[in-house]
Amino acid sequence: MNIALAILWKDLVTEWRARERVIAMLLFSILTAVIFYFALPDQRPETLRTLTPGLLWTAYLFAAILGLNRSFALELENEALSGLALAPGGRGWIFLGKAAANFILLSLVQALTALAFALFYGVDFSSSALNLAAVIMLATLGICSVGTLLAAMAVRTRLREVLLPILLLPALVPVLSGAVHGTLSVMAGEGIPFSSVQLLIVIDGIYLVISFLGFEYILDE
Amino acid sequence: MTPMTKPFSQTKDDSAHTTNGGLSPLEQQATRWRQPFGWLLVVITLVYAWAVFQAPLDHTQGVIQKILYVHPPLAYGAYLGFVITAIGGLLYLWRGREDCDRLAISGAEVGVLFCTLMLVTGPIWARGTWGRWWSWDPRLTVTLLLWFVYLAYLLLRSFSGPGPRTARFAAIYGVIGLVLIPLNYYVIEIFDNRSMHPDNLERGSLGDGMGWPFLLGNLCLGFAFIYLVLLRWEVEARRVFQQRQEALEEPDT
Amino acid sequence: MGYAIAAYFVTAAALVAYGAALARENARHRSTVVQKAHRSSNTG
Repeated sequence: MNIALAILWKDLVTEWRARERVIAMLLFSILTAVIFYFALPDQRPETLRTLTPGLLWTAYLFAAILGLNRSFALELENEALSGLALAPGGRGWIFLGKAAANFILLSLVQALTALAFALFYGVDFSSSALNLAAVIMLATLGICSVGTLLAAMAVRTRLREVLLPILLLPALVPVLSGAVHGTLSVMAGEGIPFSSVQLLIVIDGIYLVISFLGFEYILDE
Repeated sequence: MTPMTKPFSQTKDDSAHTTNGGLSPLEQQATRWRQPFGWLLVVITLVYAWAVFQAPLDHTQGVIQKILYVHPPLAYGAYLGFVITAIGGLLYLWRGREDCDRLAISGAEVGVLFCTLMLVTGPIWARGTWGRWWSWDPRLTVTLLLWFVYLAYLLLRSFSGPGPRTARFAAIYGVIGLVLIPLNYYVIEIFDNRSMHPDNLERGSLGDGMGWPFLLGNLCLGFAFIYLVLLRWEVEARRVFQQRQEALEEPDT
Repeated sequence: MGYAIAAYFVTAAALVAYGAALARENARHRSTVVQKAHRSSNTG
């Protein structure tokens, strides 16, 4: 447990000193929002509003992949992965620390990206902010759990950055599906649909357990 | 069989392994089973071809309905392959058995082949009956996603070279892939339940005289699946063994 | 008619081609192993 907190703290402090990952993710996701604007068939407010949930989650996923890819980059440069593996206690706790750090950084980026979408696309999130935050939080938990596990794998293959999206995106389709449906009805002012919450909770649970147990075999060196 | 210089022995000692081309006892067993399977496969294929040929024509769909005798059996093969991959991977993680890891590779590769063929025969059938090649039909969508998962699995293996680390990574990814099968069906169930596939294709909806050609199709492609998995398994075992032999000989030259 | 034949043809061709490729690789590995066994028994 302590080791999870220590790693979380270390990651956050490193990020606070450098501020590289968050800024890169944020710029990337806002740029995505701008790119989508040019890719849309027309720019009428209704069109923008109906498409926002899907576009928002696409931007979130891409930003997440960008950030996750750098999640273990520092450890790789310093060859600290084997050092991490020697840390006392189960390696699952290392995973939890890493995943929690990714979760916090990604949440920050997501909140700011949502603001950018609200600004560019004329969507009003203020009335449904809490519900929206709940949906985003549930989905991000799933993204970060399986994402951290797969990032730890991908970073040690030959094609590193290229492999992560290929591994991760198929695994995130259920998460994306639940998140987009949840966001759609939250934005329509209908509250969070039970089916989305149920789906996201089930996925989060499964991915957390697999990643916690699987990390044992990922770090092993 | 290859001429063996020493009689087969079950000992775990290195020399016994060498004379058997590096196959583990389980793999030797599989190799011995493969040949009879092959002959059975040839016989069944002939009967199957004849059964499909003489099967009655569907009243509404005509000849194209005969794709029924190949399309669902391919699907069963694909899913079976992915289950084998996950089980092989888990056994590798749990017991550290390398031969199970090699079985996992075989399941994934043959599974991807069957899945690809299902994704080819499906649209051909759809084109003939529903009028378009592709529809985002739930079962089709789930299968397409699975196809991507196992292509990623094979890519992961090829991108990180041989060795125990790759085997561990692949095993865990195989488990995630297996979990995704019910998860995806669950998603479809909740959000998108407009299937064009008949629910009970396997039973009730088959017309008179279509039952046993369908059964033969399952048997034939099932045997083809088993045969290919066993063959792929043997190839992998021999390939790994040869690589190791070469690595051993390297320092001398 | 053409569609159904195409489906069966593609399936059969792919399965046979894959099987043949595997059989060829298997035979190659077997023969090299046998050759090595001979070589080592002759020299050693």
